Amino acid sequence: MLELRALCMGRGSLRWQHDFKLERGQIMALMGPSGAGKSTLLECLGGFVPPLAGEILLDGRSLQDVRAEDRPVATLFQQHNLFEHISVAHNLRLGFNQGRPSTIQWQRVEAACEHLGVASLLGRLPGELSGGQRQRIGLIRTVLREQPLILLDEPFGALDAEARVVAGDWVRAEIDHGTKMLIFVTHEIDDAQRWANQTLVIGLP
Amino acid sequence: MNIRHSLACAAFALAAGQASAAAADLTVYTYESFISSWGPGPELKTRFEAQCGCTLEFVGVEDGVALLNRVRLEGANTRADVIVGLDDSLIKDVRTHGLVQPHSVDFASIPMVAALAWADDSFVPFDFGYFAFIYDHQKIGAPVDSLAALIDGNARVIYQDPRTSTPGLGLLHWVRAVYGDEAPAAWTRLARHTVTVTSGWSEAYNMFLQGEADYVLSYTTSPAYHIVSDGTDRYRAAHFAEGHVAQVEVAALSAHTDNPALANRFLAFLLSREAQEIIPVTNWMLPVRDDVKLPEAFDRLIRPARIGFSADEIGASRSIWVREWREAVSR
Amino acid sequence: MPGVLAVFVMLAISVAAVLALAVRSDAGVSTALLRERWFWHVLQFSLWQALLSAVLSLVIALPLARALALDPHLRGRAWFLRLCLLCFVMPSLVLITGLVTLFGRSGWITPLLGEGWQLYGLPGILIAHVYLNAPFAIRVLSHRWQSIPVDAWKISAQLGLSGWQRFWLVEWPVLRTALPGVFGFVFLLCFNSFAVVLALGGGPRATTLEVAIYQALKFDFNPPEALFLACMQLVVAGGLFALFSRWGGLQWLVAARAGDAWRPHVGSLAKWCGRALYVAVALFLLMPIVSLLPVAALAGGALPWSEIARASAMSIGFALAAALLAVLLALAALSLWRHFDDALRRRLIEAAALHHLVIPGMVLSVGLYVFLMAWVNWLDWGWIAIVLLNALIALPFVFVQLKPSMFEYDAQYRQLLADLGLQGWRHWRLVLGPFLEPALRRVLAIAFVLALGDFAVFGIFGNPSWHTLPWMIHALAGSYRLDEAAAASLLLLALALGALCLLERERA
Repeated sequence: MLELRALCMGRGSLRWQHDFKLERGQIMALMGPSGAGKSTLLECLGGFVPPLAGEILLDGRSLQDVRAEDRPVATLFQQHNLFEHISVAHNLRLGFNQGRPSTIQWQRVEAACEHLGVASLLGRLPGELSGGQRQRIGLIRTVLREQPLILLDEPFGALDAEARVVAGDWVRAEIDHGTKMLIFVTHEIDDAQRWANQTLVIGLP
Repeated sequence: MNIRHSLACAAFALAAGQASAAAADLTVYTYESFISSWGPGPELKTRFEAQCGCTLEFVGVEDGVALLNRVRLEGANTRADVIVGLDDSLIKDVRTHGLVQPHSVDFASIPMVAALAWADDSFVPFDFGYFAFIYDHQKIGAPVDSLAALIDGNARVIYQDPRTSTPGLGLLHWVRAVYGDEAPAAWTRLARHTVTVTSGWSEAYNMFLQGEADYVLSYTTSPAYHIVSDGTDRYRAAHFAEGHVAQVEVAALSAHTDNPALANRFLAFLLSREAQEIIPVTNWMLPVRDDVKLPEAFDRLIRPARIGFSADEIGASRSIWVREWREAVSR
Repeated sequence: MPGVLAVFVMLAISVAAVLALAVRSDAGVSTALLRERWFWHVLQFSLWQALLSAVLSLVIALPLARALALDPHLRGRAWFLRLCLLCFVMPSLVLITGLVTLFGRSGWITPLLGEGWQLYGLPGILIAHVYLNAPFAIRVLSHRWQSIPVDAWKISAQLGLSGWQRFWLVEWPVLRTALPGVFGFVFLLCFNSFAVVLALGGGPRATTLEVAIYQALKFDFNPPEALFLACMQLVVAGGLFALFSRWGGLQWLVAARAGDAWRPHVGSLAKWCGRALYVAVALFLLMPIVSLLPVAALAGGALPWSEIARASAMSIGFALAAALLAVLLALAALSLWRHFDDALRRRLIEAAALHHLVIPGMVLSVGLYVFLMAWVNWLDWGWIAIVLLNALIALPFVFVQLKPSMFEYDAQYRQLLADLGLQGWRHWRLVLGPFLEPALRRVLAIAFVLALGDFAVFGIFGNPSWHTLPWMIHALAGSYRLDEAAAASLLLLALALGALCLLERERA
């Protein structure tokens, strides 16, 4: 279970405070206008931005002193999730056991690629992919990783309506089958209603 | 002020530097340290201008060799009226390229130093110095008394590269003069206890002052500087029994001067007692006249016998000797 | 088109210089040296010591550059990086004196080095070359390290990559683009070095080709031999440099974002090694300068101050003009470079901008002097040549450091720019200029110190009414005034440091 206790963050002179809990196997949608600090919250959970005060607890254990490198968190950033100088397959492998996925893990990756329609792209460089294709590759890597907490920053932004539904349903199914927790940022109320167990709406401070 | 002049001034308004566009009556090419504020140049300029009622302009290049190259490069385009600061080892080159013309100085009427035995019709000597190895008297009580003793001993020696510096070239002549065809073997023996060979005089001399060597190649006049300026006589020149090679610095009339009368007058001025008293204490060399009054420090310098080759012999063999040295010490 | 003009100037001056010398050598290029054992020995030694020096410099520079880029707790980083540039203005006399004070017979450090220690020879050359070149490598490499985009660090952090994986995936691709170039630069600088090699090399066994060129051009005035040696240098050193450069293609990692400065965690072993090295190198760089202080303080009063002040102003004027010109030339050449898509034309432009690193400055200066002598009165116009040649000598340093920034800019914004339709002056002023500004300040600084330390070019084109500080130092040292020369050198270093502070001052 993820628990935020009076977590206070800041950017410039702006301040936010969050208190919420997220059970395993559940999805939270994060909504709010641009500039409301949605990405900052994810970065804070990922360990890239230090909080001003408060606590982040994962299964009762504080993440306070855990470095970004060691946090049990998988993040899909809004942009720049792939290294441009290595192939798509190489980029995917990097998510697992430091680039050495087990056979089972890799089979699941391949199955997901098949399901989301990007299986034919594995040999290419990221630069040759469309925005939607890149997003799906990043999504597959992030969701299938072993980390219990998954953070997705606008994961469906570049997808068309049909691909969006396929991808979202796939994510929901992956969470249902496991014990992970997932937080995703979206601007679509439909996304939240269709896939999230709970929704957190952040207003401008 | 013409346009190009004002351009130069605009570009460098920072410094008060005036480009030398305004032609002086007499342009003298020389080497840099001759015209520095502590060199003889400024004083000579003031005195000469007062005498002749003309204007004199110095142009300074890096050193004597650069001076030769400059006039050789410029050929007939040169702006030099007088060239001051070549040395006797370069005379042959200058002559063969026809860069100078005969002067009107009458040496017979001047009490010239006998050791120079000077009678050249194109070149006028204005100072000279003997090459010598300098040592620290407080460290070495009994200095070597001959070149042979230095070469066969094991004292730590620093000298200058004959390919890049005048004293280095002087040592080349010196060893050749003493050893003749045995010179390569002598170089090999010297190499065993040579600390290093520097490209210029100042590096070598500074390393010696820092205590890196027992002996450094310089001039017999070096101790005079330390006596006069530092008030110490710890640095002395070793007096060698075989005799010392001299460097004679000369001046000459450019072949392309358009004012030979004034140029000749400047040469004569360089040999005047007045100028000869200024040059030794600013350029730290010996005067070429016998009747010059100098600070007491000059009386304490060693007075070696002069050996060596004529300017023509040096000019003819220099490159062979350099090659010989290069082979001997690279082994 | 300014790019075409700039490339033309770069090439024309070299061609003119070589032509002028070739015309003066009636016998053509003299190849007699090829048959001399001595020549091969010198060539071999030049290459060997340059290789060793370059490797050693990089071995020291790499971990330190990484520490500078990644360890946020290093104090005095900005000052250290400025200190790194001072080596380029340090008069060789000062460096030699300083190193002798440290490592000489009665040096401060000598007692720690054991019985058999002997500075003169390969150790002296290597110490001096590391002193002169490792700082340059440190500067360039730490900037490359810092240029790794935050997003690349973040992906690798959240993927939980191991230290080695991160190195190979994130750091190495960036380094790989810079390393061969830096190695090539250091190699060439050591290959061309001369006063230091002679003084600390323990004699003419340790001689470089550059000494031979100097001798041929200056002492013997033998243009055929000088041309031959310059050609050899061009072929050997230029060939090697081209080879190194081929390994260093530019690569685009991920887009760079301004602002965010998250840096990954560095292991504590690496961190403490980096810090120890930082202190050690800072001391090594400072000590020769510090050793001058007592001497210089005593001699300071005896300096001819009005002359020194004038010479300082002149030096700054020349150096500033040359640095600006070098940057303008590099920008013009790069604007042409980015205009072309094919590798061949890009390589040609690079060669035009970089080849001055391989052509001896002496050949360039004397050649240009001779070429224009009949038409130009150098006594009046020499200052143009001083500015121009110093700019050309600094150009390779400027070009090679601006190129990656230009490349990244294009990789990121080319399409956006095309879409916005921004072109010409407005594009430079509104977008490209601000993007390049940090890089421009850096290269301006390095070009400035390079030109500030110039001695060789001024030696050919100088005129007593424009005396520069290095020239005065030379004159002082040449007439027994070694202490005053030390004081003036210290002033020169202080001037350089002051200028660097001004140039690198961040805009608030």
